[in-house]
Order: sequence, then C-alpha cells, then structure tokens
Amino acid sequence: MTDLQTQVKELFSNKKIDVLLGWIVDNNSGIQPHLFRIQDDISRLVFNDQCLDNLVTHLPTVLKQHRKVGIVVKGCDGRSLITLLAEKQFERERIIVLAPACNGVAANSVKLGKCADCATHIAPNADYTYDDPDTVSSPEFKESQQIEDLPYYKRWKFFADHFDRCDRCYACRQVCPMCYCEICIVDQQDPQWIDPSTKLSANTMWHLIRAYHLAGRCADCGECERICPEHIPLRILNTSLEKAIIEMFKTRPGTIPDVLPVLVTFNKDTDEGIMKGA
Amino acid sequence: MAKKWKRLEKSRIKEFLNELHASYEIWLPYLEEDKWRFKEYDIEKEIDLPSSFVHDSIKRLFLPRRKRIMEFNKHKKWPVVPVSPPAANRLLMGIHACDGAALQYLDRVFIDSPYKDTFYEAERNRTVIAGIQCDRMESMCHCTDRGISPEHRDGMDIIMSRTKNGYLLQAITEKGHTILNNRILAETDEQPVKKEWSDQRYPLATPEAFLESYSVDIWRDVMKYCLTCGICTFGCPTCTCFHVADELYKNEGERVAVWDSCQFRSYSRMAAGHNPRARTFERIKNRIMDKFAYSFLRYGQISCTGCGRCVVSCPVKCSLPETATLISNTIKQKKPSLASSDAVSRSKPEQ
Repeated sequence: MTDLQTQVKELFSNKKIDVLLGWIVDNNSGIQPHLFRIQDDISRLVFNDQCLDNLVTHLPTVLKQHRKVGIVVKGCDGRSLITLLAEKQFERERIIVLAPACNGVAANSVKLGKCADCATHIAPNADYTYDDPDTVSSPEFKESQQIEDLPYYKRWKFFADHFDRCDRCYACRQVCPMCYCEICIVDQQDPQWIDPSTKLSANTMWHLIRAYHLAGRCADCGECERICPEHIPLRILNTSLEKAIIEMFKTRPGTIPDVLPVLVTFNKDTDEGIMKGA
Repeated sequence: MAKKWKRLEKSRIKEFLNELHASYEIWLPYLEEDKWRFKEYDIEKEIDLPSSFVHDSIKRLFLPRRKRIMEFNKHKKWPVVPVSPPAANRLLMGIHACDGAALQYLDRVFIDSPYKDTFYEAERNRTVIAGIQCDRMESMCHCTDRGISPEHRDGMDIIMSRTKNGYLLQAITEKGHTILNNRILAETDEQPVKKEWSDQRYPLATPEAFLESYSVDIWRDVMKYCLTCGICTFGCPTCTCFHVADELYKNEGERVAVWDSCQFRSYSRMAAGHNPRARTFERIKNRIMDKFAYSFLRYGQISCTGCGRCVVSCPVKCSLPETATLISNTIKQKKPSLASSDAVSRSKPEQ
C-alpha cells in the first residue's frame, strides 16, 4: 500500500474527510477520475503519469454535496486551486489537499507539452506531500516562444487555421477550473458581445477573450488543449500571457497562497512603467 | 435475378469524376491530419475512400454549422433580402450506412413534418448520394445494434462496394441512374463479397421502457464526469437543434441559423432566469431520452444510427451507447435504485 493510500485510509477513519476526489484504476477504461467514499476499495486509488485530469474542475460540485472533501492534485492543479481559493471560491477548511510529487504526465506515452513549462512539481499549500520530484525543471515556454518569434502574418495564419476549425462546443470553457462565471460572455444575448455563429472572426474573438479572462489566473494545467476535440493549441495563448505576467510582475500565477491574481488587484505602488508599455 | 453491378477501375476514378465535375459539385471524404473530413473534390489530391468511420457527419453538408437565412442593409431599396437556397447539382461520395440512415431521419424532421425547412429540402433535392459499404466495423461502431448494417442502402441513390483494385457500383434511384450512365463504367458479373457483422454490443430497451425510466435514480449516476460541452451533439448526424441569431455590423447584417446543443446550460434557460435542466444529469437524461424515446414517438424512428461519433469525439471518454445499454439493462432488471445521488457531475454554478 502506498503512502498516499495509507494516508487516505487514516483520513477516512479519523473522519477528516467525507469523500476523496482521486483517480481510480479500472481494468476496462484505464485510469479515471473517481469520487471515493469510506466504503470504497482504497487500494484502487492511484497516482502516476497517466493521471491527466485536473480534478479541481469537479470540486465545486462535490463541495455542494459533501462537507469535507479530500483532493489529490498535481502541481499545476494545485496552482489552479490556490487561485480559486484566493478568489474566495471555496473555504480552505473544507478541503484537504493531498499532493504527491508529479514528474510530468503522458497521454499515449507522449509527455504533455505543459510539463516542459512546469516548475511546480508539488502543489504549494498542500496539507500532505509525498516523495520528492525527480528533477526540478525551470519553465521553457518553447512552444509559445516559437510562435511569438514568427512574423505577424505567419502568426495570424497559424491561429486562423486553427480557429477556423473551432466548432464552438465550449469544451475548453467547461473543463477550465477558472471558468466559473454564472453566465458566460458568449451566452449573453443582450448585448450579444460575440457572434454565436462559427466563423473565423467570432471564433477568434471567443478564444482571445477567454485567454484575456485567464491572464494572470491561468495555472497552465493544459486541460483546454488536451481535451479540445479539434486539437486547437490553446495553451500557446495562455502561456504567452503567463510569460508576460512573469516578465512584468515577477510572479507566476497560483504559486503564492492567499494572494489575488495580479490583474485582479489594484496597488497604488505599482510601477507605472508597465502601463506606458516601457 | 440480382441486379447487375458496374465496375469502376481505381485508375479511372479521377477520369470519371472529372467528367462529372462539369455538371456536379462533388464532395467526398479526404484524410486530413488523422481525420476523415468532407471536402470539395480536388483534382490534385489522391482519392481513397474511407473503409469505415468518417469523422465529419453528413449533417454538415445539409445543415451547415452557419446557415445564412437573410441579409439586411439599411441603405438599400429592399432592406431585407432572403438568401436563396443553393441549386447547383451536387454529388456526395463515400457516405456510409449510418449517415444514409441519418439522412432519412433528417427527412422526417425537416421535410415530412408540418414545419418544412426549405433550405434542407433544396439541399436534399440537389444532392445525389453515392454510399459505400464499410469494409470493417471500428471498435465504437454499433450500427448493427440500431437495426442497420454496414451494407444498408437507406437514403442512398448509388451504392458502391470496394473490390481489389476498384469499386462496384449500382444505381438505386433514378438520380443514380443518370450518373452511372457512363462509358467509363463497364457492366460486370462480379458481386460484392458478403460479410458477417457482429452485433449486440450495445443492445437497447424499447422506447416505451425508456419513457418509464424517467424517474429512476440511476440517471444521477451516469456519465459522472461529463463536462456538458456540446461536441457529441455537433458530431451526431441526427441532432437537429439550432438557434437563430442576428449578427449586426453597423447598418448591415445577417440572420443565421447556428447549431445549438441541449447539453449547454444556456440552452434551456428561460427568459426570466429559470432553468428546468440546470443540472448536468438532467441534460444527459434529456439527450438519451430524446435519442431513444422522444424521437421514436414523434418521427417513428429512434435517432441513433450507431455511427459512434459521440464516443470518439468525447473529451472525457464518456460513452453514450454504453450508458444507454446500462440504463436499458437496469430497466429490464427492474431494480429502480442502483446508486446514491452524489454524482460528481460538472456543471457550471447551479441554482
């Protein structure tokens, strides 16, 4: 039995948690998210490089039905949780964060692009951590840098080709833990900010607006890109903005607990230089 | 006596299509980055019709994802001009049985109903469907469980079958005859190879049984991690929901019909803010009930042809046919309560 499983058993028996959001190994469908209850077989709880989902996405619904919830998070998931906590989306006391060290995840044995840009292998602000990460890498942002280095017309063509395929199924919004608006901007009809039809101008508008709403908040969990049915490289937009945030504010979103995202706060001491584009 | 087949050599297929291209707009599936998509015929590109699954459903060609209904311009003498439906002849090649059957369902919805869609009817009238028999069934294909087989001919004008180095063709309707009257095609005694197809992968209960299951508890526990995005409905060849929007730019604009999805939370939100299907499981229930019960009551045909696109495109690997079977089995066993109510379903803030 792994340390994680022992810990979960203990938490259940001490009544510290009512349910646990984690990954279950299933003979038919592989590794899947699962809501463990006290009577469940904890030995099926796993954490390895195939635990792709960001379980924080499901946390709001689970917290509606259960008082105390345990959650297993990777580094990037933990960062999104920190931002949500800073934005007062849940009460910290009701969540027990279990953070095993993550050495990157892989879909079909190909390491995901986000893991190359990762510097947070253990979720900050965790209640329990296990092991140490194999290596501590520094973010490279290679993919987004490649696109940024292109001349503007090639860059536009790159995105236009991708956005043109978008069917506006809004899977990117649905999977994003940061997208919790009561009524999303695309669903507003009076005024209708974004044309609802699938055409390049409206698709571009949708993806850019979503990227801007995530600027300084996005923890680069990469779920939007992973699940996009049309394989649109959405992370490039987010990491470009993240890079800009790091450059301007010298902080990475979701790394410091209880601090609001940089673009959500106002501080009179902020260096005006960035406002002038200096 | 069985009808004779005509033979088209693989080396002459382009010659055949080029000749037709003069009077027909031709659409066929091309492999593009691992996905089969319907594209307009391109003389430059190699032609290789898919042996089974096509990612794009036929719906895209009859109910475009952005359909212009009318244009308006304040400064013109006639400020509102309806868009006339397209009229050029069109040939669709490489349509599989699941899509052919889906077309028949769409006909019932948009032509044989009190609310006739003139655009759809015009698209239908101008199109000749050349279907092709599948060579194999993929892991998610389940047309045989929905009363269709890969050799089914419903909704088609021409049926094709692959042989070693070419195709066998046979006309089914008058429209098909016009196309097959061509010197490039030679009559042959060759017959397509009969194949055995497996079934009972995803068996279903009757529509009536589904209706009775409306208040069974199990609904709360299916597809727990569904994100309620709309991709399964957009991929589905028989999902017909759309909404109409006006898109304005200063003094001119367009009225368009755009695909909508019952999986969206905003789909069922009322003007005053009430949402009868605010929770995820309610929307999933609506979708499954619509596929296997409501459509049967309204149009006399269940609206699932077993194409498996919902399974392939789902970002979180939820399987709609598996869920439908699970529910069917539950109804049969008459065990009303299988689960507790704490479905971990993702829905945006619930009221």
